[in-house]
Amino acid sequence: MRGAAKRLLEAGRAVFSLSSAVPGVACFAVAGSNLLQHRLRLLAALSGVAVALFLLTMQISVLDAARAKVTQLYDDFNFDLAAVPDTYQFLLNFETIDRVVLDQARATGEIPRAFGLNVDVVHWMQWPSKKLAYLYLIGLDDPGTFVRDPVIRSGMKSLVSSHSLLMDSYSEPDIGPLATGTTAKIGDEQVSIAGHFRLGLFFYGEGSAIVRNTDFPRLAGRDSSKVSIGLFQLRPGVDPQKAKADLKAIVPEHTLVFTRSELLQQERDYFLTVRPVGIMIYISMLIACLVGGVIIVQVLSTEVSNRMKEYAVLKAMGSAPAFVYGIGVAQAVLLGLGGLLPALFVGALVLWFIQDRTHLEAALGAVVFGKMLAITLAAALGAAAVVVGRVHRADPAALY
Amino acid sequence: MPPQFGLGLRLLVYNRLRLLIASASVAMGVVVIFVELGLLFGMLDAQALIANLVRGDLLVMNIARINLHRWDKLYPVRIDQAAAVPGVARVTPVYEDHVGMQDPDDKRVRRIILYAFPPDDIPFRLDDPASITHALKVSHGFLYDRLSRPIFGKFQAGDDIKLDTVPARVGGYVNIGVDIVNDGNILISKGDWLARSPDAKPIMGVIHLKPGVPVEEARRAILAALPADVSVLTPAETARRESMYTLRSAPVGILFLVGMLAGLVIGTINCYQVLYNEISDRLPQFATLKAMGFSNRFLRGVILEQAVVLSLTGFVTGMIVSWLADWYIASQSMLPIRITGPSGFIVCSLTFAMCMVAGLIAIRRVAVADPAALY
Repeated sequence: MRGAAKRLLEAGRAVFSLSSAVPGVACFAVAGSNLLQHRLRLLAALSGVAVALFLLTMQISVLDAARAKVTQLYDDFNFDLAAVPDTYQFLLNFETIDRVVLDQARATGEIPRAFGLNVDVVHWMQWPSKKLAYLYLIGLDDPGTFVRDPVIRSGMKSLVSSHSLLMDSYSEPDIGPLATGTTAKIGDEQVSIAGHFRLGLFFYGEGSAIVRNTDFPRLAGRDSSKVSIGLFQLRPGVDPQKAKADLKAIVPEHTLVFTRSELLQQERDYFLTVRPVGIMIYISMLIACLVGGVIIVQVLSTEVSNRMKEYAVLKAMGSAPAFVYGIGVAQAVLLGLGGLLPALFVGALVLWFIQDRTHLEAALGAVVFGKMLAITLAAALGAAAVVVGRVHRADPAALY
Repeated sequence: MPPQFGLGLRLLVYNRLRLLIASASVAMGVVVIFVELGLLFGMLDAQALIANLVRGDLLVMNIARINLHRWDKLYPVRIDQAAAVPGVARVTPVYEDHVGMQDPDDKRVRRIILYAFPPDDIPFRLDDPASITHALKVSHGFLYDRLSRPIFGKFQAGDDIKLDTVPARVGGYVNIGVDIVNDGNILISKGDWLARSPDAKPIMGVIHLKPGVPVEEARRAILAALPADVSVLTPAETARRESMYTLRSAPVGILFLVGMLAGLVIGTINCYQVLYNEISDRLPQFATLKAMGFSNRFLRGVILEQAVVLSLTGFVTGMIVSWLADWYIASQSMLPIRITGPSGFIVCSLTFAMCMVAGLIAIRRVAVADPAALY
């Protein structure tokens, strides 16, 4: 067993010495040895880079998750155009439009299907404890081809009673038990949970529930001739901008028409550029970017300063400039990647914790991993470009 | 030989440019801590803004209103019941609702928060109360919070603006401020509001006690006299409860706390790097000092002195940059993000601690200074 391990080690060394003959690999080998010589310094350098990258990972993940979360309900629907009241700012909208707009839209000839979406916040009273919480109540027309989420589509079929609803499994504990069959009150109406879906719109209420639009007006105290938002599907080949203009021309005053992309963009803009949380995260991200870049430059610059004599010796021995510069670049890349790994590991844990607590889907995914890898490599190469000039100045004559 | 103070400082000052870079390096951690702490405190202060503005001894609210962004209202009779409790001088009803305010230019209607109260008994600490009282007494007039987000359009005092499709006249301006949920505020008289919404119920009652009545005694008496559907808190307790609620429920709180810790680590590592380089570059000088009989303890004192100097210069530099950053963030987010006494003290203590930790780690390097290596 021991003999096999020894042979394996020797084989590894042989491969390493052979591959070191390749210029790029040799640079990495020398850079690695340089870094490993002072373990404490390497640890400090990696910690600095890791912390900055960790900070950046957190900000990017939360921002991406927030961007996805604010349009999550809309993402569950297939639609090309939407009609909203002119008071509309974001999804939690208390004003309504006339349901007749849905029929007007169908009459244009460009819109074969229309769908009414209702939203409101109602009191959810646990029964018999009578504890109160806010419930974000969503009313849907027959799903047809509009509802994308298969869980909601199949769940809607179980809403056979006019007193049943689908409950968001991500609702806060203030809502109380979420098991199927649990009864509670919305206003004076007794309702029971007939199924579940997953949404987690924590910023609108302690929980969310879906009912049929035939029941929504009764539960929310709304006029049944009104809907919060009208969603429309276009015939294949119809230009959304033209259909928007045609619809806008016939809908009543105080009604706005958006294309899908405009509505989603407005939703993101409102939450991420008008509301302060988005601004705060953007600024934190900017600071993390700056700090991360400066730390990598500083760590690398220190490393190069400490090795000036060695670089001078390499030059004196006739090493090619590309090889000497390559060591600097390789060192920067190794430091960047060495810092990225712990940053992603710790970041994944913290983000998992945030996701678990808030249902904000911030867990580390391939997209954030790709972004972080690109940022790290760019920062490392940028830092190398800044300090490589110092390597150039390494003077063999200064050795004596 | 006792440590001689001043040598560490002189070594740092010898190369001014290098001292500037070193200070900037430490300041980077300071800026991260300051900004993240500012964002956290700014968010908490903004959420508790109304509680902190209240001018009164106690607040009576619906017991279900566990945070100030809930709409659970009081039965109007609770205001009178609280006012009838011995020791209570008066109770000011405060109404809160959201109304659609129409931008006079693009005609878009945006939601704004409305507070209504008797004009003669302003429940908030606001500048120039006499002119507020005067303005609110004008029928169909309202006061606009000039610290609202700039999304409601441009108008001036005297203009007629539609509130929920009914015109009302801008009677003047107040300074209140917004939070992470609400975009703006307007003030209106109780009479005008009840004329628009006859069924409106107050969101809270601001209780003023008679002089000399202990707050705790009054609270007990009010709770005993009123049904169990109300809570009675001081404005400070309400503000604290709001901050704690925000911290628990908003995920960004965790983000800012993590950011602050990251700033601390970044500052420590940067300071360590600076001190390590400082020691490496002065190794021959330190070796000479050793050869002259100076002890390791003396040399450690010099390094720690440098750590203290760097903590001071880094803190001051970081504070200046953070002040500018906070000013910019506050102007963009409209939140009260600023350097305060407590935040300054916290960051100053953390800066000192991180530089000392960095100094204690870097100190090991000075022990390797070898007089023999000089030759």
